[in-house]
Amino acid sequence: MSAGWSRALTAAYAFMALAAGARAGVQIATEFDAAPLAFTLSATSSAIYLLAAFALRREGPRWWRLGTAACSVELVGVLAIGTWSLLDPDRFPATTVWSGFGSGYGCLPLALPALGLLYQWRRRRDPHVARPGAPLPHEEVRRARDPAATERRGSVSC
Amino acid sequence: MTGRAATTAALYAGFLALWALGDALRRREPSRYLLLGGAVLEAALLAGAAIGAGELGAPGQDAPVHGGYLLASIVLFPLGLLLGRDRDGRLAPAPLAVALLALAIVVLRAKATA
Repeated sequence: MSAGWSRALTAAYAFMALAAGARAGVQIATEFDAAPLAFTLSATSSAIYLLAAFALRREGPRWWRLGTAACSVELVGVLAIGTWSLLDPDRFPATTVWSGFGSGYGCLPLALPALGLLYQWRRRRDPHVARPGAPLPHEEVRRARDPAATERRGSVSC
Repeated sequence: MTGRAATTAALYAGFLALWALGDALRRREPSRYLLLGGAVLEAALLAGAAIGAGELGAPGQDAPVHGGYLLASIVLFPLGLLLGRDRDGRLAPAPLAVALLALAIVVLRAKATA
């Protein structure tokens, strides 16, 4: 029985996308002029969370690269905006998801990309996730049972 | 949901999150009592959200933000159940633990913005 830790990570990303997206949506709709930079950044972070939630749940090298890119952008974003918001608080009259390294959300925005990248690092060894052209499990079993047949099948060109 | 009811609901959600986390660490499927507890919590949150929606727009209240938290409080547990299912339809406890933990935080935030 799997505890579902990877799905827990995806769920955390989905919840963050929901929280950040709903908040940014309300703020953009009601008071965008008050802090356009902060609200735009919140909306952007929500889109990145959503992308990461989808990519981390999918298999295949393209999704793996997309998920890794989303987590990396998110980590850079939270570190950059977190530092910027501390050094120049006047630029952020309203807080963003990434302000103060995500302190408004229990620093989850800082922890999530680190966990996401760790998950992707572990997944890179899974050939069906990270490596293009890798054999599927049933092909590996067939190859182990009868390597000659696999060779013969591989040499046929259509 | 406001006042003591919100604090109780948040503590209850936290307790259920710890229960789900215990199941996740022992690699067990969530017990039916945990799901029953979650259903009771969801029913209470639905009732609280209905009452809270009726009181939206009270003086000194940030209505859109509070409404957002009320909406999130009723959506999170079903979303956790949805995301926790694998391809065989079996429910994993770890996503449920995350959902319940997020729920506890959302209920407390809803209380703060009421």
